Amino acid sequence: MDIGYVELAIGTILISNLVLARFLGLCPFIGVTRRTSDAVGMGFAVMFVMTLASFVTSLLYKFVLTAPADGGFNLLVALGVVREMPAGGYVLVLKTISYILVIAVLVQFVEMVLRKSVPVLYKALGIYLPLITTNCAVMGVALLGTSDWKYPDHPLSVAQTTWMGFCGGVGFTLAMILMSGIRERLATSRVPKALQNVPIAFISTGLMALAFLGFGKMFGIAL
Amino acid sequence: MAFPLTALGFAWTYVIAAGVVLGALAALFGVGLAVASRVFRVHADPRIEQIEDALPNVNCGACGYGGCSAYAAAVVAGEIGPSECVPGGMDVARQVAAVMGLEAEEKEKQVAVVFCQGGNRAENRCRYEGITDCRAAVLTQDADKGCRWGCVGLGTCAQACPFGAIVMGDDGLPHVIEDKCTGCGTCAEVCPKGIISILPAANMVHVLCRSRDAGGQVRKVCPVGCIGCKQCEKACPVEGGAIHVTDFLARVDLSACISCGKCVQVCPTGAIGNFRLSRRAKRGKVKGQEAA
Repeated sequence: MDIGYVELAIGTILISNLVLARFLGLCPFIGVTRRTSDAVGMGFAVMFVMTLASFVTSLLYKFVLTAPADGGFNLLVALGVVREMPAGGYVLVLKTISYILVIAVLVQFVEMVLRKSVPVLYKALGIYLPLITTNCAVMGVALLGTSDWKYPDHPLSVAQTTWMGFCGGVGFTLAMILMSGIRERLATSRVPKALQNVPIAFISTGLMALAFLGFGKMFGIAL
Repeated sequence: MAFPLTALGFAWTYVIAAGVVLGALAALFGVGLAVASRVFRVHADPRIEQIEDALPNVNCGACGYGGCSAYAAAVVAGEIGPSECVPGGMDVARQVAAVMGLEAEEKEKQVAVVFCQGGNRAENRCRYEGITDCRAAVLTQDADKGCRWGCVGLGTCAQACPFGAIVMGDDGLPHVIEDKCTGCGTCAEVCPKGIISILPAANMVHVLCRSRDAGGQVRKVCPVGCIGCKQCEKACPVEGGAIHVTDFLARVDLSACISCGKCVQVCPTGAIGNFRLSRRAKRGKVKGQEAA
């Protein structure tokens, strides 16, 4: 069964939200959500990185790392670098490192663009902008979109993987905005001293995750 | 390509592929980033960053600019002098002046003074339940204190201080840790009652009350408020008087006061505070405000 775009969207944004269902990307989630303006800016930066990262990594996966199906195209074979590919392709060896390389480069690019175009946001995000490189949510969505175990018969096309990356970013931004709203309220509430700031944020995250469990298998989508 | 070493059974294919793929990616991205860094180049005067490094980077706004970066940019643009950073003091002023090649002018030390001694000693006229913020309390029926000029005691100033120089005491009053206070004025701005003022550290005697209620009214709600009895006026040795009572409130004339402390001794309620002991050069720890 071929996965549709709407199903991918609902599945990635709500049912398997990267932050609240898969618990990826908690570093900026806790670190940048003290103010909603910072959270939105970070969310957009991550959305951009996720979309582009998914796109480039899916290209890499399909045309460089995996052995081509009958009639498929592989860059390495076409360029004559290797005569024939081993059974599983180079996925096991090169997947993680080449993906991280792609993500790091994209984050550098985003840093440059932000520094020039929106310096206020650049300063507000501070250290958390280069930390998007190590954000497991970006790596996670890239790996999830190019995992062969999930859909062995119908691997996601490049367009579908890119869309999944974009939706992952949307879900991440949604979670960040929700969290920053809660934290801005918590800042003026009577919280016990030991729980102030980060601990109560984690407790709130857990409760939000419980709430998002309610989306499980919605519309029959199992993503 | 034929590799003679494949005869040894070594899986060279992985090594070659890894090297080529990663090498090609690195070259491609390296060129791409180099081009991007040209396109998105930000032209910044290096002196701005040097000045930013010297500033305390608390973004308190005492210099009159929106933040330390804004002040650094203004200094480099020549709009303002190098000694405007209040929290930085003379050290920072000299460093900033050195970067710009200018002279730093001397500025005297200023500290925050809390003009209220009521706190928990002052009576409440009602009970306030709500957000633990003085501004919120004042918006809600002008807070719960019996004296409408006095400190609300919910700690907004302590939270706002970027240097941790104001702490709320058990007496319900904020105490200024004068060693840490830089006179940036954030607490004064944030206080909804306006009872914190930033004054030169050289002035050591202040009337720590802002109540303009009549003496009898003050007595009912606060044991340490100024009742306007004018004993201090009579005791002042300065020609022309350095302390005057208007609207039932004594006020020190900072330009005339010599900080002798005579008014402090005669005040019947102890409303006048003398900071001489806590501010002189000391070997021990500072204890904050001490009255009479």
